[in-house]
Amino acid sequence: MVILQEISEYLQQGRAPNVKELVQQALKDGIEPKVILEEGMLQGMDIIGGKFKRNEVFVPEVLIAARAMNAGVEILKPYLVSSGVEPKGTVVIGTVMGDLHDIGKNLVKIMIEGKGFNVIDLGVDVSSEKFAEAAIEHNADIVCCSALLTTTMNEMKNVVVMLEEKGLRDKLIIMVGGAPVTQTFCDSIGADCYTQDAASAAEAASAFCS
Amino acid sequence: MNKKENWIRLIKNDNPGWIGTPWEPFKGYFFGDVFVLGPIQAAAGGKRIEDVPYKDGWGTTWMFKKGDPGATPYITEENKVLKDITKWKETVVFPALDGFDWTTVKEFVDLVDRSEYMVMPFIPGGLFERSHFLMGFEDALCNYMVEPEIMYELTGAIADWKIGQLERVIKYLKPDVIHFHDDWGDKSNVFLPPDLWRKIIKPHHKRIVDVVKSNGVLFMHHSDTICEPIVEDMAEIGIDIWQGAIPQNDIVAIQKRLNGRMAIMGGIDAQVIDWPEADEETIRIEVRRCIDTYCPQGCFIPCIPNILPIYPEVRRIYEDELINYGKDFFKR
Repeated sequence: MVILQEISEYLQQGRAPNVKELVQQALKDGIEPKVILEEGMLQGMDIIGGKFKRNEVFVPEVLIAARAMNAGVEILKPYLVSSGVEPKGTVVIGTVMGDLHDIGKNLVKIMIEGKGFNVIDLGVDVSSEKFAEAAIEHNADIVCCSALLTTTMNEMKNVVVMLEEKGLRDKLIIMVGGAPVTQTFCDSIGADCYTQDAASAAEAASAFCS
Repeated sequence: MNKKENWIRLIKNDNPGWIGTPWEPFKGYFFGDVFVLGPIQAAAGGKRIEDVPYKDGWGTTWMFKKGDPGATPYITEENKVLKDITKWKETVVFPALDGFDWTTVKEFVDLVDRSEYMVMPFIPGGLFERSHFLMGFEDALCNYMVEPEIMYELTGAIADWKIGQLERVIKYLKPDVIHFHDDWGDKSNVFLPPDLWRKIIKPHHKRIVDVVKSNGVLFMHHSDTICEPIVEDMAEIGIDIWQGAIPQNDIVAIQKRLNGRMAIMGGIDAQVIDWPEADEETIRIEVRRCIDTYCPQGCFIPCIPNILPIYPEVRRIYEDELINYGKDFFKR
């Protein structure tokens, strides 16, 4: 449908007012909210995510696309709820205790939202207890931990241990990332997945919940 | 040849005698005997309090968590200085540039033997960094995209303040090198699309570089990130040394492109060596890899991109290997 293609294109350009207008038009035209979400907006974010991964677009272009998506989702939300459309899964995300860096964490959040997940953002300086509490409260499918510093990344191990202690280890996927994090580190602490960039994190999350 | 002369020869590729530790000719009293901190910067940076949010001279909130290597902006929707970019002129308060007592720092600087050592003031919070310190990272990046003219005005005003700061630093401290911080990317890419960076940041940054260089001072730009897409621009506006070249940049290719027009400091992979449990052999191998890979092209000083290793034992081994492997490198 042409209108879905237009929604996707305006979203990729970060043109929130146009996205809102076309989402309203699509609803008036009787297109299913789920179709508008998946074939218009998420498809647009998918294209932006791919371009970002290939270094064809930069962080600001992703951010304005995400803001355009959020503008469209605000309009769609009541229709999605009333028609019983479920998110792809629930992700609890945060920067680990002792670390206040949030740029990478926020990018991962944006990318994962762009895949149709419900994302619970715990912010920065998040203790392992808070990760576990949020995972239980929101019945999380995935927990994403971020750290920028070698002085704080070992806190990720505490999150893994805490999730084990709470009996959640086999019920969810633990993803880790951040500048100093490597696959070797991920393996050493018993996390499930490390990705080098935000777009890859979203792809991995999507694969886990497909 | 003394340490200062050798360091200058390294950056100019002019028959240096040895490779040593990257900061060996610098005398300071801040951050591991490298930098000098002037009173304007000290005041504008705010009074740092461990584990408690504090404000800098611009009103930005920071946190210095115990055990962290540095303070981090702690910007929330509630505490951000600039909530509406269109109102920046009414909102942004520029810290004072005058009324400071330079006596103590001047006395210290006057004791430095300039024939052998150099003075390098630390000037953090460049145009891009200050813009996102004021409004938060995401707002800043979105505003660069959707309000480029206003961001040009704002970064221009920040550049004017920086120039005022540098003029005073140069007048009182007579530095040899200015160490100017502005992280322009991360380990994946530059943050701003290069054309947008060229349109907004580059012209104002050139004004800053021009002021420094017109006073006969070397300009060292710190960005421990990818800068590969804009390195030629950096050389074009007169940056003498790019400090912070992470190895995720193709440094050898950059060296070929630049052909000596801008020196580079960096090349060591902090991700590999700067760990509390990093083993000695790994550190030594990484230092040697850096020297062997990037030094033959010249205009290069091996250095951990984030200035100094965080962990003392890592630093000891890293510096030992730089000195021992580097001392006869140019004779081999």
